[in-house]
Amino acid sequence: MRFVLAVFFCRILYLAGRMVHKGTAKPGEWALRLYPDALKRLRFDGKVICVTGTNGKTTTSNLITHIFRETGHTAINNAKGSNMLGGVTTLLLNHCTLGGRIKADYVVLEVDERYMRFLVKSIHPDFFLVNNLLRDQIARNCCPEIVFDKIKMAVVPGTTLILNANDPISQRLSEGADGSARTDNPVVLFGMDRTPRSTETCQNGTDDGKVCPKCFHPLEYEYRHYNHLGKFRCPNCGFATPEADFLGTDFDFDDFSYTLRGTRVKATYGATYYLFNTIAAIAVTTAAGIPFNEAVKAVGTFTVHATRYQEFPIQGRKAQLILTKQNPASIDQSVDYVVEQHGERTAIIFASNMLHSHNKDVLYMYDVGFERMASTVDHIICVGDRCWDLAVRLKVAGVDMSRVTIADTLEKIPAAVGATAGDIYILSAYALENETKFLEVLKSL
Amino acid sequence: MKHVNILHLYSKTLDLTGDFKNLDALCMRIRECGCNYAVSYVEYGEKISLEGYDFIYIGHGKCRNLSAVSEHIIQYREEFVRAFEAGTVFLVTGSARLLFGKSFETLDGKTHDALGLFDYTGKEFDGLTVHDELLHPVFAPEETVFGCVNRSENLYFKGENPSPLFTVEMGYSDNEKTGGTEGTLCKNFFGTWSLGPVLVRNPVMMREILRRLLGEDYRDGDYSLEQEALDRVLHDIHESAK
Repeated sequence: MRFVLAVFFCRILYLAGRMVHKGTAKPGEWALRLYPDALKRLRFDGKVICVTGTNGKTTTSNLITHIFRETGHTAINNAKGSNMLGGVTTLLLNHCTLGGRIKADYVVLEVDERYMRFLVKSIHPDFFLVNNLLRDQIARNCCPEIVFDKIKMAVVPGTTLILNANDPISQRLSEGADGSARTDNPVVLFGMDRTPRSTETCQNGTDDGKVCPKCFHPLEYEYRHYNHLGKFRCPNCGFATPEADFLGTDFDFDDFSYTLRGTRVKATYGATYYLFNTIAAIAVTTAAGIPFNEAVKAVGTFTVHATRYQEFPIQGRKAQLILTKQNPASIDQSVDYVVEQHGERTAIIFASNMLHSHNKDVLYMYDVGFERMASTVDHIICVGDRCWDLAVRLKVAGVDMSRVTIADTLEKIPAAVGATAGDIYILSAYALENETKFLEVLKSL
Repeated sequence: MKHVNILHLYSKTLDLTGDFKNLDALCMRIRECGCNYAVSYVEYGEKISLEGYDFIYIGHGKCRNLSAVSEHIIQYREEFVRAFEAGTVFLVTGSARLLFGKSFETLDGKTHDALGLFDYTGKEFDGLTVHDELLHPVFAPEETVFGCVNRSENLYFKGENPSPLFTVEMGYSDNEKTGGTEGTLCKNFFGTWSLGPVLVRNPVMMREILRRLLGEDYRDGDYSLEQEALDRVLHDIHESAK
């Protein structure tokens, strides 16, 4: 009876929330307060796939769901990235019968990396994908190894692990809990071969692969894709990139294509991290029973969610808004993008206090490789609560300060933009409280 | 014109939160003073010799990395004692401070011996302490230093810290009390929990280190941008405390 009440309660709150455009986590949180064992009552007709990791969770889980649907199956997922227990509960209680049965062929759950260990107490995943582990939200996670320890607690018997062979940190989930070379869980590894964008050294500000996670001696890389993802080897203990079951090769960034198991895959977006996501999605869906060629075909029809990227004109100039997470790896990828463009460029960088805690520290800026902007970006405008601190960071990065403007109030932004030239790139962490006003000013120019 | 030899110890193993930018900023300021510098790196597993170095820097790291490093560094205890006694300038931030106490305990219950330069012990805990802090250096008590703390370790003295670097206006002292004192300043050894760009963002700290490093060659530079950024942080903190 309490389960049925929890289901009704969750659905009513969800519908009410939708009317006022509220998030999807609260209905599930309240339902769990009403009946803490609600998730344990669920029975799945199909397979459960959990997706976690630092970057790419939302896109990859949406792509996995897309592949299932495109190949004629029913699939549900928390598409908007509400990935803590509340969000997952809202999704599941909205799709179950009153007896707790979920009839979908596939349930795809994006799960916050710290919460996965709690979810597996109630739900047994058939497949568990870990995209990558990078330095993220240091105020919450400290370092990727601490997150690794928490994810390791979520590895339960019988679950197939889908892991990134190019990531020396998360790939170690394939090791046994007792330190043995291999876990008893089935493991599928995906990875990327060298690409035209690969580098021999780390180009980013953050490198969590400097030392071997097993013996702490310096790790050597044959090539890197970004940050610490690449082909690595420890000369001291032999820890190295394992052979991937799904290895992308022969990358062509002009048409966003690559070869996987002898078949040419055509993606719809060419960022390196996105191509990683596509290989992960094909690996998961193939392991879950979708014919490989059908999964490959479906990747070519997926539209990347555009809310984290927008284009609009500013004073007749092309402007691109690139929303990032407030973590160095994510901001670094945006810096990469700006650096790779051609012609005269203006970067407008929004520097904020720490999200959620509102701490005034800006440690995350010091793990971003702004040094690459010193010789490539013509004008930089610093905006946001910590714009002066950003200017200090740019000075240490060797940026010529005559090219840097500090617009420390919204009123100063129009003149600052007017004094620059070329295409405009706006870098901002999403979910900022005052981001809306800042964007309103820019869009009104 | 002075030539400054800088040693960055364990730059790959202890490397959290962009701490190495302290060195970039220090080098920039040494150059502004008309002096030269050279930066060397010694990593985990390599032989440590501190002879000839004017400045030694060790940054914050993950506790499991720190445990490994402690086994390595302790082999060179005499080197560190000699350099410390000779007045070599040290800057040690975050969890690296634990390497200079008597010992520290990790979550697995193991106790790791440390260099024993100072009379404190450390302990790792299951969680994370994250906060901003406002500090007053003992060499310039009227000045305010802004620091960021992000750690999973505590540090304890049996009594009072005999040689603190700061008095704490906002944040936690070494014995995990609010207020009190934080850090170590003994001879030319600077140790603090304050992470990341503590030298970059706090002109009073940068100037003090430069004075001790360069002596007569020290010249004051333009810190107006850094000071403005710091003043705004302090203003925002005081406003939000109202």
